[in-house]
Amino acid sequence: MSSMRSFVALLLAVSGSAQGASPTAEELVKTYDAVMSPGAFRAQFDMVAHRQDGTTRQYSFKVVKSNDDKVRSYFLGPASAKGQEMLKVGDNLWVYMPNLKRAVRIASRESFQGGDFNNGDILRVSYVTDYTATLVPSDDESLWALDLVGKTAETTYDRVKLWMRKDKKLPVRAEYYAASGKLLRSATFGDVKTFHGLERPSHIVMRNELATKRFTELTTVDMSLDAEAPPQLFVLDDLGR
Amino acid sequence: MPLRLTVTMALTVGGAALGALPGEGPLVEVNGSVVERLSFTRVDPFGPVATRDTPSLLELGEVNAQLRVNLGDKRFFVAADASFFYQAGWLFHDVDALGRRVRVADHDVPALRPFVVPSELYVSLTPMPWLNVLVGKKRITWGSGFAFNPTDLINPPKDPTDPNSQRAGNWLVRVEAPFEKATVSVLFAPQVLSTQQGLPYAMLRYPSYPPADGVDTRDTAAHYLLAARLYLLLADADVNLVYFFSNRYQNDFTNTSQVALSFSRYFLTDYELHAEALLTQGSARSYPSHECAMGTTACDPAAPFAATKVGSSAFLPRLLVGTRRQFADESLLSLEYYYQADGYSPAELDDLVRLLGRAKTAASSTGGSSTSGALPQRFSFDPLRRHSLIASYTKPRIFDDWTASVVLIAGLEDLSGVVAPSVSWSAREWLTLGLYGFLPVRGLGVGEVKVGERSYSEYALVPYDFRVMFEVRAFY
Repeated sequence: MSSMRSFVALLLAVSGSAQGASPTAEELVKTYDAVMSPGAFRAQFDMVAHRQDGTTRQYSFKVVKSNDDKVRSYFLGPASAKGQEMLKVGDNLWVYMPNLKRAVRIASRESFQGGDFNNGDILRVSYVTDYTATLVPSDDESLWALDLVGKTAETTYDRVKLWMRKDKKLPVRAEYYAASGKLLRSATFGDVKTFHGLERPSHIVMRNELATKRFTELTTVDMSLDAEAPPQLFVLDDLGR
Repeated sequence: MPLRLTVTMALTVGGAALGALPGEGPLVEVNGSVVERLSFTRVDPFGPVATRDTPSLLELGEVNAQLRVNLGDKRFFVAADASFFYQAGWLFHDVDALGRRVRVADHDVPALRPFVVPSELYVSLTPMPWLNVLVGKKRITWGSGFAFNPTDLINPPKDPTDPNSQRAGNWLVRVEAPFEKATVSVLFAPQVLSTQQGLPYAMLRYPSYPPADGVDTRDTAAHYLLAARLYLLLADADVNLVYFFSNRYQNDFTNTSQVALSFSRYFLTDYELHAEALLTQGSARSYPSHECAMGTTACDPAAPFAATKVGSSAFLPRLLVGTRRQFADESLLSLEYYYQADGYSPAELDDLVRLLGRAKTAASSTGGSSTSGALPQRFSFDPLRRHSLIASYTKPRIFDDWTASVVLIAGLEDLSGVVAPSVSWSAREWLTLGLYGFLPVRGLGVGEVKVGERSYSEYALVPYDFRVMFEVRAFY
């Protein structure tokens, strides 16, 4: 439960500073990370990819994250993806393919299971680490608007625009850009639920702005914050075991 | 929501908790696939390779089951990946005494009988977080090559036209100590010397008594491979250093040391670069006897091929260098160059062609085959020459769930190769349909060897003009 207590303490600290004055951009990004990618957790997600022709593909996977930002995921379905695993350690990402019987390196910017999320959206989610944030004027008074610029070329996107609710300090929508300024993706965050004390949007819709009929829904089925995973889970040679 | 016919057999003990990891969830997990392949091959009976037992029309069905049984805490489990194959072939062709292409009556071909392949069957125990012990048959790949691994001395080789298709490993005992940025592995692999329907009944040493049927190939040697491997996550790169020591393990090397190195890292954000190299003194490759090829009296008819460089002190390295890039449209390009110092020279290829031509009659009259514990492959990559290129390009969603790809396997010395285009359609989450083609490119008149009236390149030896294959794969 220690990670849960420190997580709540972080939220209270950020919340407290916000009540006195407008939070800084960095405080808001820390809040975003604490909500969307808390310290150590285990979670189960359902993902539905909507294709250009209107058909859908469903995926189910579990994610385990350590306090030091290592992430491992396991695909539970469909049958064609079952057994696939992913691991993120630092800037390194690997996917274990059960038919290949080995792990291969992948990039943050590659598509996550052919949907509209990138690998980095799921596995590399520390905005504090990856982006420099600035508060910018918002077109909605109930929202804070943030402009995030990638610190390195390794970030999932070169630039992110993020809007967060002032009342609950939760993300509402986001836009993801290439270095050229081209809009690649946009996301909306909805259906706020509480998972074992953590209030967060449970439903994200990621739209592919390059193929406008395509979008992918990511639903948090459950999330537990009180489970620090054993360190060997985040070792390359543990994939497939 | 699309129709889903996913069947998960799960005998749950106490229910799977949230975020349950392998070993913490259901007692038994089963999944797998059912595959049906139908292929047509335009057989070329005029080449030096015998085609009498090669069917033009081949049906191959596979039922695969992958099983995991969790045996308690400490991540103790048994895993199996086994396939049953049924196959049938029709329309055989050969050349008659007048040199004409003729139909051969359908006949029994041992290689086309049903068989079972236990690709993997092992027990894994992790008594401590930093220690794993594995015993059984397992595919373990340490090299970083995508389509081919020259440093892999253990497993049946991959099919470069579909690296996912070869799941079979080999029998071994492995002790591994994984840490955050390093892993140490020690492995002992006894060679399987005799099998029946894919199941081994002699390992390491031959029995003291001769086989009841077949040729007696026994010797008194212990056939094994030892390997020690150090993996390092170094500056965001995967680095493997491997030392091998083998004695008559799948080849004629005796008490031989080999060293392997592999590397993989992303550069410039999106470009994966990898390399792997195997350093060996001598070569276990079989070379054609020049005397037998020329039909001289100095030919030893019992040894038309021999590993004549097995005792050589010359270093004959194998090296693969490759890169992979996924583009914004999610298409994937992979390029790999492979060099093997022990590949055939033009003179040795000339001898090979002559020998194959001489052996063709004998091969036609006897036929015969055996199973090796490997899954049947669409294409086997065992280059004869020294320089090869493997290039693949895959573009998903040419239409929504349609994927197109093309693989080129080329011999760079005579510019011959095989082109393998394919289109697949994920019609359902559990169902994939695929159409595959295999087209030999017999060379562009460069670097070929001439035997009689015909010129031969490396891939001119492929005994067909083209092959097309339709595959249906249903996952469960």
